[in-house]
Amino acid sequence: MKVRFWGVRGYVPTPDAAMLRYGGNTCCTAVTGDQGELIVLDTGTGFCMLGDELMQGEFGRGRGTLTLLISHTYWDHILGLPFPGVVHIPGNRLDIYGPDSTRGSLQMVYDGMLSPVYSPVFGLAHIGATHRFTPISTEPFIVGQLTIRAMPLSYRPHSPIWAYRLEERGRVLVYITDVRYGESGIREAAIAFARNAHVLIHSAPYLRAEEVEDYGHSRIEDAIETAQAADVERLVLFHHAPTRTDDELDAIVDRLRQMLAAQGSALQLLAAAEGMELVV
Amino acid sequence: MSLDIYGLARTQSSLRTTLAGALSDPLFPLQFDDLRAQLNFFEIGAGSEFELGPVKVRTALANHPYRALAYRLETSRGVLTFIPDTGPFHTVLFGEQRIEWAGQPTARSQSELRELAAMKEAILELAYGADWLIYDAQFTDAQYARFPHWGHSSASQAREIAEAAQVRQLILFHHDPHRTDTELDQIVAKQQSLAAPGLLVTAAFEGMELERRP
Repeated sequence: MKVRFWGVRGYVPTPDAAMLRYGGNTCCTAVTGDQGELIVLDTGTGFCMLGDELMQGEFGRGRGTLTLLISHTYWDHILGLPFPGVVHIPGNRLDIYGPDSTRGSLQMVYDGMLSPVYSPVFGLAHIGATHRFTPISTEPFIVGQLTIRAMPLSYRPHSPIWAYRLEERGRVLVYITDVRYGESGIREAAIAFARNAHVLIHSAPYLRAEEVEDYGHSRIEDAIETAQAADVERLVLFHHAPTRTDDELDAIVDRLRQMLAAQGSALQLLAAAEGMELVV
Repeated sequence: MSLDIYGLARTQSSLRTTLAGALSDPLFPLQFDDLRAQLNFFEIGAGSEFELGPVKVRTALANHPYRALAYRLETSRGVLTFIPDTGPFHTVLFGEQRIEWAGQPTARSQSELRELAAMKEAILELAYGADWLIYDAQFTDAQYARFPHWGHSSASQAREIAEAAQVRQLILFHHDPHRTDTELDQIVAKQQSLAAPGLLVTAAFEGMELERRP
């Protein structure tokens, strides 16, 4: 499978000249299976750019199908969903997997985003493409040749967050975002879930030394420790802090690579950038 | 910290509920009531007039799906009018029901024609003589023809409002997400070439500052 990053920023879009190399769109990652299956991990504002590209193909003719895996419904992971033409063209189909909250199902949350106080769409019933919602569970499911597993990353029932593991012919991609390792047992569960992944995409907004109030989100060092404990081959940091410039991110990655080299660690470290592609 | 938040009173939802919905789990990692700032909500309507210190504020209704409010801010040193998210006044783009689009931006009745005329008149009055008019100019004319029901204007429609209201500087705003810098430069140049004498056409950009009158 192939991965392409369309949005790598956390929290808010950052269209700042000093941040354009890594990019300012919020979380959206596209995975293409060997048979062309299209799976999208989260639909932050990066999804608008992906949508533009998809319009050039089958989606532009109302014959496209994609699978969305939503980790959670905070704005930076869903804001792009209603905007691209692909979701407005009848005939296109979106199979959407994600967690239901005790405040409302994923479908209700999305319908609310499209209600007339927030959107001219006037509710999900009036959007053009077919949207099929499936509440996520730990039961594995199949999309084309890919097997997809999911795992809850939070015990808070009003704002659930899930991780995804995609496997195709022995190759493994794991996606962990917005995790709070302070919650009991989550770190161990995440390590087990990411075990032997060839690529782990992990949110990494801040370093431990940065004293930022960040709702208990994991730090960049946590991503590395999880990857090492899980024997991950390549770790891709994403969900970059909105204050982080390209030069700062370069420096952080350089420093962390030196640290890994000094440890004799085999872990390969990358920072995701918009447009970056990987073969898993 | 205290924030005074003004917005349009609507039947579907209170201003507080609308913002709280967007700033609560599962869309945002806290509860609205946990925000530490003091939030004061003021639901206002079209035609409101009030003062914020030395600034006189007036409002008018914009023509946007499910309604938007336009503002005029006036002091002894200058007038700024902010008219985002409005279509031209060809058809009424809001109401309690979903707009069923018939394909042409035309008024459907005499009463709708009267409503449109009154709405446009109020917008022109709001913008009249402004030093700065910030106006929705998302579209090119060709895009407007394709999406007239979206509730956005073209740059030429913005210029026509600015001319009719005898504005000094038009600031095109709410740029289409696909509009490149070069295209915007071209749009500004074209609208400036068509503009009535005395009207300066510009496009808003991040970091732009407007100087008060000397």
